[in-house]
Amino acid sequence: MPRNALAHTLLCLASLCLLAMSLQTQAQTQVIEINQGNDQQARIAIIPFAGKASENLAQIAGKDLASTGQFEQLDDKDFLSLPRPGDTPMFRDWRMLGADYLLMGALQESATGFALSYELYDIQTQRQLLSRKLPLRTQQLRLGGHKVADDVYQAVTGLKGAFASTRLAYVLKAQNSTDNKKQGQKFSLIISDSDGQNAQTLISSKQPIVTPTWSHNVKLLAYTSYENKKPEIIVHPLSGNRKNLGSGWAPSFSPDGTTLAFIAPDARTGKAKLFLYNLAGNQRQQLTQGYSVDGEPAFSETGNEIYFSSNRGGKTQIYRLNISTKAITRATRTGHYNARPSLSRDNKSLVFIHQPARGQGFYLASQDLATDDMRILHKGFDSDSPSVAPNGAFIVFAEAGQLKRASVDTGQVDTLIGKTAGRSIREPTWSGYLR
Amino acid sequence: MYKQIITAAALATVLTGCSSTGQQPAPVTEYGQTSAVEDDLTVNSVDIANLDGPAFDEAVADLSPEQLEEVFQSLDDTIYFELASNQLSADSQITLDRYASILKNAPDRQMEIQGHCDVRGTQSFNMSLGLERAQAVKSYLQITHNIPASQLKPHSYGEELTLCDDLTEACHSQNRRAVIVKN
Repeated sequence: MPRNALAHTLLCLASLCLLAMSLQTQAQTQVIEINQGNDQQARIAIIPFAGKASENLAQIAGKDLASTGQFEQLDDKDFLSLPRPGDTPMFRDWRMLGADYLLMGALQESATGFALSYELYDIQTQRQLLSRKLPLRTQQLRLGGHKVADDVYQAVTGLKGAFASTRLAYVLKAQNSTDNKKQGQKFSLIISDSDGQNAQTLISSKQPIVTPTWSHNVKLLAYTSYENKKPEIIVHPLSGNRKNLGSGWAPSFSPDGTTLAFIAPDARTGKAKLFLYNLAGNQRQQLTQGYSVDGEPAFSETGNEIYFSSNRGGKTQIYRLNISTKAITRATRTGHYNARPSLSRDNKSLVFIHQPARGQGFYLASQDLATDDMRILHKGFDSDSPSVAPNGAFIVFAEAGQLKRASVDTGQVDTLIGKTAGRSIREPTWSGYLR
Repeated sequence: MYKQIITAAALATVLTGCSSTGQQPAPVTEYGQTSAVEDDLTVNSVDIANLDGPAFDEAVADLSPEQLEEVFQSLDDTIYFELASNQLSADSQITLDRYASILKNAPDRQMEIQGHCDVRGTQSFNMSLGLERAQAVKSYLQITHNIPASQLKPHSYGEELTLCDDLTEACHSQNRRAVIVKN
């Protein structure tokens, strides 16, 4: 579809055209603080939503909630009744099933698409925690399911959900499986919902597209393009004209959006070095020198540090550059190889790829920046490109061409998009909150 | 590979007589130069590429720009490295010596060098590492053969254009390469 129409669709889907949303809230009861340990999941009964539509919103919400590792979904085969919004639940029946919470919903067709209504009850206290109505166009049905998950997640845990109000970007590489040569390859830069679904192509090419990254305001993507047969940085607004900044790769936006950190060859030594690009002034500034190989810059939320990988100490490790003082300190302490730094929005955690010893796999790891304690979150064989959700609760990453999502608290990993022959998902990146 | 020294006459044969069209060698004009017809005959670039080092250098010194380009296109495009290093294999050095010879005789011709990685490690750090392979080729040509930097254009391709994706050493050694870009 024409680019402006695509951008409009993306932006409108993104915010669920919130101007049109009407919330019918009950006098909101206090959010009940549940201290959930990993071993104590909230048991939730999700009634299949009433009404017919091309998407199953109860299932979408159920999957999101299950992926947090904090909800156990009861089997709807055991349900004695199937209440809808407006019905008063038979609390004793639900208590006997062991439910802590009850979620019900209904979709009604309307002139512009659908009207979604949903309600959440606390079975123990018999109190209604949520009652909402939301208009949805047909293309927004999946987002409606994600919005239900966000609301339930927040009502139960007190934490902000990121299912409906964030986007992923990733690269899809499609290749004839019998064709090992460059011809017949296609790279597409995809924007999707937080579960990888509802994929929209921003741009595609026979030449590689690499290292996509979101601006913090979710209005721009930057990536590396080989359209001129060499790696160049492109800044691509969702609506507006794309701009080629010249030689380089692995861009990362500063939180205020004024600056891009990236990697490019040193003009004299030809080594990969860290640079800054001032977007208003169209000027680049070299930040690192020397004969090491540097890579993968990631701005911290303060905007004053850039984390990056480098073999300056011999092995590949993650370092931290202070932009004001230019001081460089080492961030990762253990292991044979540490790379691909990604920061949580609260600036408390460094997430990265960790190889403990030569010959072992490449694992998803997280390090507490205050204590330097490191833990391995997932021992797949070849994990790559971790990106933290803005609420800090999830990490999206790629593994063997599949799109995967890990819960930070529980370590549970779900495969969002599995491998199909000739298609591989690469370098997912999680956006901030859409406004 | 032919080891014998190629005489000028034999060289003329290589240039003109081994053509598949079966045409006669070009007549020599009264000034001792071949006629313009010679330039229309296809250079047997495969035969030239098979000459040993010094003979190759001699042969290319006499070629027209178009013929030089033909020989360039016929050379092996893939440069291999020793395991876990940026050391060029012996065969690859020989291949690069031939490229050097052509570049010296075509000072306006630029050569694009792609650097590739195997799939181990992160995709984005491999973007930086791939540059090392391309630079290794550039350095060899600059240092060993004094080719000016302006003729050499190294670019990293990271692990974007892998030839195979298995996690085996056989696959890794296929992917660890530099590629000279042909048209």
